[in-house]
Amino acid sequence: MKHVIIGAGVAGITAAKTIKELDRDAEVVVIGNEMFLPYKRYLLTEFLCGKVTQEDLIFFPMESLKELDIKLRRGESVKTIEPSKKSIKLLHNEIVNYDKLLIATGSVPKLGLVLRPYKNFIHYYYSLNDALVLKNKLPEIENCIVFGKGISCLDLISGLYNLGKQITYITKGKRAHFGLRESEFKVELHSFLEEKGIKIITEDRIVSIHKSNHRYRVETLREKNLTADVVFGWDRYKPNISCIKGTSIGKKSGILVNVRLETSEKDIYAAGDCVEIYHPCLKDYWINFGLPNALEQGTIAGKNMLGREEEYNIHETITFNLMGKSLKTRWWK
Amino acid sequence: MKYSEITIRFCGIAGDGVVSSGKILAGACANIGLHVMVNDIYSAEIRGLGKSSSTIRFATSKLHSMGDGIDLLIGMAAKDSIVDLRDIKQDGCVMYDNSTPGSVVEEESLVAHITPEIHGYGLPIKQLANEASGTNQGKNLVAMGAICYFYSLPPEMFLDQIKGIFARKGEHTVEVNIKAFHLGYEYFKDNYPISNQFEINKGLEPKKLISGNEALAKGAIDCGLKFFAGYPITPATKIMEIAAKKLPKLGGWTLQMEDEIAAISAVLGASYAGSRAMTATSGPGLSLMSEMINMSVMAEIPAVIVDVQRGGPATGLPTKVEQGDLNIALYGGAGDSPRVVMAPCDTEECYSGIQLAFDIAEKYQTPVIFLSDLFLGQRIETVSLKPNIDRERCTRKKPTPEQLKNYLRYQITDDGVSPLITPGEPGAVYSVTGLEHSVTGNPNYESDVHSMMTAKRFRKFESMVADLPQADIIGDKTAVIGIAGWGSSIGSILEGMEIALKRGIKSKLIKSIMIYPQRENLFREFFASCKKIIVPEMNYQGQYAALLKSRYGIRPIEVHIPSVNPVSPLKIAQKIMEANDELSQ
Amino acid sequence: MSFLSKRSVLEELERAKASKTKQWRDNLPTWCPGCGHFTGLHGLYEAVEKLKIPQKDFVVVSGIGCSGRFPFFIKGFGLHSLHGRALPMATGIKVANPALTVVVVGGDGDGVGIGGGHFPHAARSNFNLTYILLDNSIYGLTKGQISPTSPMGMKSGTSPYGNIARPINPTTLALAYGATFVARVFSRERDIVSDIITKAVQHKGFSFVHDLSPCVVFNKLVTYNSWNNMVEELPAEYDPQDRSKALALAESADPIYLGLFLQENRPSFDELSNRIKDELAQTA
Repeated sequence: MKHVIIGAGVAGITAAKTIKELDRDAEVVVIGNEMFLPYKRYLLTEFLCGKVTQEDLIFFPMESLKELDIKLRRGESVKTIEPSKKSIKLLHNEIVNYDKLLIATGSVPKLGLVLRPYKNFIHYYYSLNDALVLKNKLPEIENCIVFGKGISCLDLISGLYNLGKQITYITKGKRAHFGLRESEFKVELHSFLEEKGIKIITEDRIVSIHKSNHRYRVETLREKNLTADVVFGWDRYKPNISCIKGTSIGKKSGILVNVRLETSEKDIYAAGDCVEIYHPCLKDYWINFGLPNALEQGTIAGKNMLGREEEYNIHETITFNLMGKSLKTRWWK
Repeated sequence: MKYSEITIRFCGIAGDGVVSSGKILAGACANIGLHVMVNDIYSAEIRGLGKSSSTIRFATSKLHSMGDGIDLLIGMAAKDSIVDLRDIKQDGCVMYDNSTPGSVVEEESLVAHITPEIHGYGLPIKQLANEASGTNQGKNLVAMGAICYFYSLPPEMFLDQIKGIFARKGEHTVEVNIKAFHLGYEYFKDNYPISNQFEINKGLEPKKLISGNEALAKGAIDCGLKFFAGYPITPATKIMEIAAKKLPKLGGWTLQMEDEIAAISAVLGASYAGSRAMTATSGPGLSLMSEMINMSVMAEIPAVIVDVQRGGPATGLPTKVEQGDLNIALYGGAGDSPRVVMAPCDTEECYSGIQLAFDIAEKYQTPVIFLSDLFLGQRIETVSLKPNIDRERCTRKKPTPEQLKNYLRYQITDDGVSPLITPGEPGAVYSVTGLEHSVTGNPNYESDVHSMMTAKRFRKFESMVADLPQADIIGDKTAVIGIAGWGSSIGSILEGMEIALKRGIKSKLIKSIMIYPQRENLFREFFASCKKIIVPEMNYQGQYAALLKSRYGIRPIEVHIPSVNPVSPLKIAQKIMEANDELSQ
Repeated sequence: MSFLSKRSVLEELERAKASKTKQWRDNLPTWCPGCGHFTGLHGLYEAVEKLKIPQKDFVVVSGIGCSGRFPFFIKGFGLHSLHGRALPMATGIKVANPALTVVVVGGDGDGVGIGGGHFPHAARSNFNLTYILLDNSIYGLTKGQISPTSPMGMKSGTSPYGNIARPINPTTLALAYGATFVARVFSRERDIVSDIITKAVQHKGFSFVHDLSPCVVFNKLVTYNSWNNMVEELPAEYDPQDRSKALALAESADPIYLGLFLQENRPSFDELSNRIKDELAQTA
């Protein structure tokens, strides 16, 4: 039985591990588009701040790959999937056949129409790759502009703050809240950040970015002109599902799966940040972002791919640590 | 990662520009004063699509061998590069073309075979080359750009090289190639945040690149070679090609003969007529030459026979290296047939050694078999060739007017060398023969004469010893682990000794370009000072070990590597460490 | 002696006294009395004497066989080489020192047997050499085994039931290989042999003399008498310029034609290689 897993994040690798632990003879190929061994994305800021090493980020080392005989293919992306032929095609046109396929491609930050023309001037902060590039540039950086929403945005701000950088945060909202709707901390968050010296521009957005003399000039909707050494920005996170383009696999903004993580196509499963799970209570689909979800879904997907029947229970909150304060957040619908 | 030494291999098929890639990279590195060694491997098949690879090792300090493994593989031809993946070091990298059209099955995909220990980097080689040139031209330059970024090398070193190499093909070609280079550079810069850094010392003198075969041919020509006869054979042909080009300009000539027998015959003929003459061949050719080498021994006609060894026996492995011809060189003659056998250990010795070979041949009227090998002959390396100004060129011993009056071609002398005149010279005439002969040269089969003449022929080898270079002893003189090596495996031995030394184990090496005769007292002293003796060589039998055992009565640890690739320094280091373990038990 | 039948013994003695070839004699030949090779040797004595070639510039190269001892019987430099290798050795000598006069002498086994691979290349390269092939159709030195020129059916120690291979015709080979001087002589005709060898040595380029030279001891089938009945001079009107006509006449087995089949004026190896050297010297 050949199990092919697209995505070498937590969900993908956990599924691979689950499969090999239960069935030593199964052939498992994991295809990841990043160059690195599977790493803990949530520790990237710690890495950026020098609190952990690159080694520490790895959650699935070489020895484990070898021990479990998991074939990890790094730095490769999938171009298309052909469910009828039970094969996938990689970017460099290689055909890989599968018996069972798991899509665990996670999510990616996306830019909206306004910012897209300036994408070369915007620094993403999502992957280890992004973090490495940023880390190299750190000595030259003094002023940063951060534009976006979500907890990862707060994570970045907190990291840059710890590194002693000047930060300007631009949000479309009336206050800086990072989607932490139910946090007891949310009301104070805005002023907490301002107290820490972070400049917050509300009800505004970036409309253009230009580069001059290694610095970036940013113009906002409210005609503010700002200058910074680096501009971070994204409009939203989206499930990364470009590989299923042209297939009949059911999707909304993510890949639609049932509680057994099966997609609409036979023998194709999906797990992690790229899926929308049918919530039996809500009778609707949910996107579940985050590490615990990925871990659990990976295990469940792995078991189901081996023919076992496991169901996934939706979790509603995770804990988040901000500058020494503990936050609880529930992921959004 | 910081590097002071990198090994890169280009692997592809015809049209991928593999060999020219090697040249550009090697040339660029040599220009900024780095030490470079290049080993090209071609398949023995002629078909146009045969695989070839070019491995380039460059470093800030002197290189002795190709080392162990490669840091970066450029897999221009996906399928053909798969086997090369296993040569990649831990944490090494492979660049592959992610823009090949059509479909590739998993089994034939280079990428599918990348193991987790190594890193794969996709680069749209074909696509970017097309962008630059509109054709596939410039694929190798795309890769070169990526390499330049990958190791933070200064782009100018490549741009200068590209301009130099392509200048004669016109401005457009230069532009296209530079564009391809930049596209590769930019692609990597945009896609891979890498902080590799190769340490470069600025302002070093540019170095010259030369292959062992070229150095050898140059050495021979620089010491008065006038006549070359040969028959094309891999991997020795290059020597003949150089001789063919250069000798007519110097009043000499190169003959391509109908076979190796004819080649060595013509060499002996030319030498008999007074020219410094040589041939170059490989194992199969040396086998054919055996009888005529005997003629050279018997008639005492000087001759230099270069054997660029390849894998054997028979046609063997034409494009792979082996040190398997020592026995035929030493013992490949009928009867008591002494001949000088020499083996250079690096490119510099190809140059200086062949000059010594000629001097010995001419002075002692003997054949000299000069055992180079495929790896040594074909690899290109940065070296400084020192002209042999410190040693006077030896010439043939001329008769005194007294001796000329009653000229005896094979006059018995103390050193075994008889005065020699050549056809065209006045004073005396004589005939030589492959038959046993008296002092006059006339056939004579009497037992006393045969004993006397045989002794004379061997006596030359005793008197020769005083003229031979000292054997080199390298490493820690106090070490008790001794290594005796020969030929091109010396380079790997030196690096193996360094590896062992880093782990705290001392060893020493004795090496001499002379295999027969040797300065035996030096070897005896060396062996007496060792508790363990290791004799590594690239053949199955242990041919050099057998020679040393019978000559010096030693019982060495023999390391036999019937090799198709140059010896791995790590393997040598392992053997040194094993020997050390045995000693400490 | 039948093979000298055309002249009286007295006449012979007179000639010998007048001959100036004595100074070219070296060791006493070891051949059997009556051997055809004496005629070839004598022919060469006369040629070098007539052409006034200095002994120091004269080299005879031979292979192995009865003919191999040739260099020891004539003054000058000599190279008694290995079996079959006289031609390539002579090539080396000539290229190394074009001022030397180089004559190669060999037998049928040496030249078209073991050394057969060298013959075409020496010929086509048009080295300025003379190659005298003394053909006795037998291996004499090993006491009588068939050679490449032995007739079919010939019985010998190594062909007890008769030779079943067609004999080679060395004259035809030389023509086919592109030699620029090709002649066939018969050791019975001493004056003709001397004359042809003289012309051959004079020729600029590769000259080939095929000498039918009977072995009076081991060859009972190919003898003075057997050849005597078959040989015939080339037609008087024959002009030795046309290789294809020469080939047709050389192929003829009965009669076996004798004389100069071909003499062509083509630049020799020395000329062509010197031309290249001169051009290179000018451009340098």
